[in-house]
Amino acid sequence: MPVNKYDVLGKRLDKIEARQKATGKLKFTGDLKFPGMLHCKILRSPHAHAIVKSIDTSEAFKVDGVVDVITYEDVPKILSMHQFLHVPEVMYYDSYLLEKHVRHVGDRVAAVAATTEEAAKEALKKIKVEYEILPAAITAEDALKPDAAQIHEEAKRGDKPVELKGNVLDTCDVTIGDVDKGFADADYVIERTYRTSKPNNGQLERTAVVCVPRDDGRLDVYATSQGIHAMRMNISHSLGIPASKLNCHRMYLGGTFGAHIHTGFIENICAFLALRTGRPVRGEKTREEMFLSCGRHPMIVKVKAGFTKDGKLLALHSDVTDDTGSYAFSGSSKMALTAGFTLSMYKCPNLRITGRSVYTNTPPLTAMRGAGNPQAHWAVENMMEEAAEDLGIDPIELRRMNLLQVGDRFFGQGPQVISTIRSSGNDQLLEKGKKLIGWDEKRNNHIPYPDKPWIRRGVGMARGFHTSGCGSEKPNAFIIDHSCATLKMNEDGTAQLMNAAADLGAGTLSAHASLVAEVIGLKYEDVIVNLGDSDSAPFDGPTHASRGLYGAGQPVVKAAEEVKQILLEWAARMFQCGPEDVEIKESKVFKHNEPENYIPVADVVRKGHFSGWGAAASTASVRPKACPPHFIAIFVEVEVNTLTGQVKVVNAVSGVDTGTVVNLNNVEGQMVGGLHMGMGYALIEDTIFDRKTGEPKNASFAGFHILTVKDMPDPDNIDLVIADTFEPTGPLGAKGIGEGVTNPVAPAVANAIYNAVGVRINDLPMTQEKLLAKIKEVEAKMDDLAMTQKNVKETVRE
Amino acid sequence: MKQSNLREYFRPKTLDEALSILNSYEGEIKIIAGGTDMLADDHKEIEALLDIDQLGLNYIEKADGYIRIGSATTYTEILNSDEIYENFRAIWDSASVVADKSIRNIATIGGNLGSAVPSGDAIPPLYALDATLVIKTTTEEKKVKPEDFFTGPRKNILKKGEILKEIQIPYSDGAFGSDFEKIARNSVDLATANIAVFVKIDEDKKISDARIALGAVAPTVVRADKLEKAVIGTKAEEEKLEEIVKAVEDVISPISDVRSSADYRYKVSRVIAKRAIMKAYDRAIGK
Repeated sequence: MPVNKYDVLGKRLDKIEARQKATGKLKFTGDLKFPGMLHCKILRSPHAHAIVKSIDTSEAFKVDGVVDVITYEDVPKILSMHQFLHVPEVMYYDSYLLEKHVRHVGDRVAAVAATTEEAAKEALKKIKVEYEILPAAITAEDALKPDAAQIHEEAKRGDKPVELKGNVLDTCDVTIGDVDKGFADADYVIERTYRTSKPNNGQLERTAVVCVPRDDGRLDVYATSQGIHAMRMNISHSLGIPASKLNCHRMYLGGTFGAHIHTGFIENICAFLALRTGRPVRGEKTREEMFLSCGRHPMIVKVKAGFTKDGKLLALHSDVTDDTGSYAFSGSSKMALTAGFTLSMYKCPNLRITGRSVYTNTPPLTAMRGAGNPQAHWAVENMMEEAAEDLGIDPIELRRMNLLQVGDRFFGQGPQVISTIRSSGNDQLLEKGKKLIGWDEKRNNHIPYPDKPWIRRGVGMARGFHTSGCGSEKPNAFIIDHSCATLKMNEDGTAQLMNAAADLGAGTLSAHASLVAEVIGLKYEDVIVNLGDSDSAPFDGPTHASRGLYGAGQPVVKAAEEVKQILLEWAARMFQCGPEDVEIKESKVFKHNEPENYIPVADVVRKGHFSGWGAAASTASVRPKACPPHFIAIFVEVEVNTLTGQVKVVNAVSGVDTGTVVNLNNVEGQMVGGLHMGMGYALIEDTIFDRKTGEPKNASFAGFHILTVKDMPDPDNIDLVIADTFEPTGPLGAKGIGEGVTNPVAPAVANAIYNAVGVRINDLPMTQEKLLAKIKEVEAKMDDLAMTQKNVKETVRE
Repeated sequence: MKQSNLREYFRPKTLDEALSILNSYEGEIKIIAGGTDMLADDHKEIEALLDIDQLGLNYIEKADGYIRIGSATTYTEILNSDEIYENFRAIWDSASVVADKSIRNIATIGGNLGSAVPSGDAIPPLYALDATLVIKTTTEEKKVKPEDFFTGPRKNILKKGEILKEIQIPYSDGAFGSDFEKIARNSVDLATANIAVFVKIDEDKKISDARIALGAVAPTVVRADKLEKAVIGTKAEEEKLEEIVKAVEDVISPISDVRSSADYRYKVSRVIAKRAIMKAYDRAIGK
């Protein structure tokens, strides 16, 4: 459906909070101050694995300004989990607010609340701790060794104790179809092992929280949170207090990419200290603490795929070894998701996933833009490219012939979340991307500068998807996906939306405002979105899985339709006609074809409210019945310096199938941002920990670099393609976008590098150093054996 | 980052005043000139800071046969100088790739020398362009060469009571060219390896003089003397350089760290040596 049938959707609109942000007026969590507020600081373990033998806080209490000091002895004896994205019964509860058994450098030993941050820091220095140091396992491989030290002695899944043997937290093994037969029938089988890195979310705003005791004995919680109801469940569970004792406030967020799905316990510790002291308690992670509390899971992904000689995929087996870090914040779900997402990359009758999620003595990891899917894409889209070459089929063609189509089954979060594909822009994206990048001209033209033959160009592509939310046709017992919204009209004709979905900075609340304006026929600026809190807003799951618009937008549309119906009926009474005879446009109500004789919506609301006709208000609730994939195709052209291994992405095409475009600015922002983040994943981002001591080597932005605007292609060389699609299950036809735009970027860069120099690096990131070593290796072989170009390629792949 | 034991901050208006504070302050006092490196970490030993940004030491002035660059001159000021672009291109090039624009607006060339980080981008050009550093005390002005100024990673010869006042660089006559090259992980990172090259050519367009200095590949910036000698008499022909640049390995002793392995630094030092020599030569012949 074409975008231009809408009055509000598809346009470039300012985010509703844009001016406040641009002028510095908007208060982020870290800006909040309350009278008598205390500052919390956490004493962190210098060891990767140790037992606290003794701890003495007496000197810390003597520091001027210190009000409270707590250790593992003081915190509730409740095994806790923090994220509450998934159904609580499937999640792993494996941590206390403060630990006696510390499991990574930076783990929580004690906490101080003091009148100033300085006093709190000073007090940390005065806490005396004696540690018994234990052997540490820093990588999944080390943690899986039979003699590896056990990292956790107890954990629960839901309320059931888990028997932990070694460091494997969970496993999966799911088969669909007959994989053995599929491989037996295949003409060609490819088996590869890929590894991914551990980038940090690197969002601008650091995790912050202020917990403020109220006069009624309850607690106000202001936090950088991706979901106020999830936050309420989190604190309520870990402190053992009723949910209603907490009122969690929705705050605007300065970026999160998953980092603010409650990682690092700081919110719970501050809540606990606020209840103990009766005073507001503020906590904010330092950047180093951000590095020590979240990041994308590194994975070892083995894929085995069987094809017919014509390129039809017959069987696929993905095996995933997931390093979840020292606590299972995101449970074993990233293992299940990485493996599970490989099932939906292409149409394949015989599928198997196996995996294990492993504890290591490194900071706990979480979701990071893509929730396991960038890892899945890295493996499958590298493999597809190699298969295409071996089969002698154009890589785009191989992908095209194996695409999932409208009507096909889709596993949105692994095999437990099943929906049916109802819209697909895949063909449009492949066709346009191929043309825009200059695929046919550039695939065999590698020397752009004859005087600099050491610089080689190449083009490559990768495609994929991310789910839009986690809805399944039948309710599932895996993940929470349910949204509500309340909408009411004010007497000045404005509409006021009260819901709970978090806006991570992507413009989700502005998108909701657009939906309300479009459905009712209001001006965009006549819609107010309350930030609100868990006291006043009906339930919503956290904003993750690209569900902020697709999922949380559905009850917004439903509530707006109901409110519109009320307004039409009231206007009909005023016009003395039937509701079907009137329409609303730009906040004016009029009979069809008589726009000049309009009544302002404000007058209709006033008339209705003052005459006692009722309330122009509605609360809607939706459990989405689908999680449509938003398909993505990324094409890039790179220049590789074969003398230094440096890679420059010189041209890029980002193509998305996001259904109806709600706000063009926000969609394009996600596309370019996703490209940037994916390029960083491809080329440089990784957090490094000493393999023996577990000490972080680059836990700062001085050591851990992300790409800058200067590392991006020139803006003129980035083409953005938006497929013309309409998602029947979505709010006014919209799908998600936020995560898909990152997922295929790294393999697209890898495939372009291969096209340029015939070298493939299977473990992320593809640093200039790794590339140079591989290029030299190939050159040496060429010199020694004087082999042909074709032979070289085969050697590299071996 | 907060300086946890900092008690005093001085911002004098004159060089004399600054020197007298340095001499009279009893505790641990440190000079800052921009502070973009120094303030990135907590220096617990420091009790006082002396900011030299108000002393009028931000200047680029022609003198008799040389140029004077005040130690508090920012990279942005260097980039705005045609005089530097025309005559001391390696300095201009290095200033153009230091961190990002917001840093370049604050960070100073003298600050980079004071920090004495082996990867400091401002440093190799001073070796290559034969700079002299002028150090001021209450009683005298001392002149030292960069080779004698740096003593190790983050170490130099500056003593308490001494301020690095300016950098003097001689103008060259005849045909000359210089270049600066850098390898880093992204556009704002510290150098994995960097290099500055200065060459002069004779009437036959052969290199008659060369000065080459590499950074981030040894405890201090190092001159590649053997390489300098080897390029003399050549026309920076690529094939010849390919062999000749191996000589850099005699003088560098890189370490492995988060940014790079030693092995990679060895490899790319040769690459940027060749690149910088060719570029400096091309500039000398007016190409």
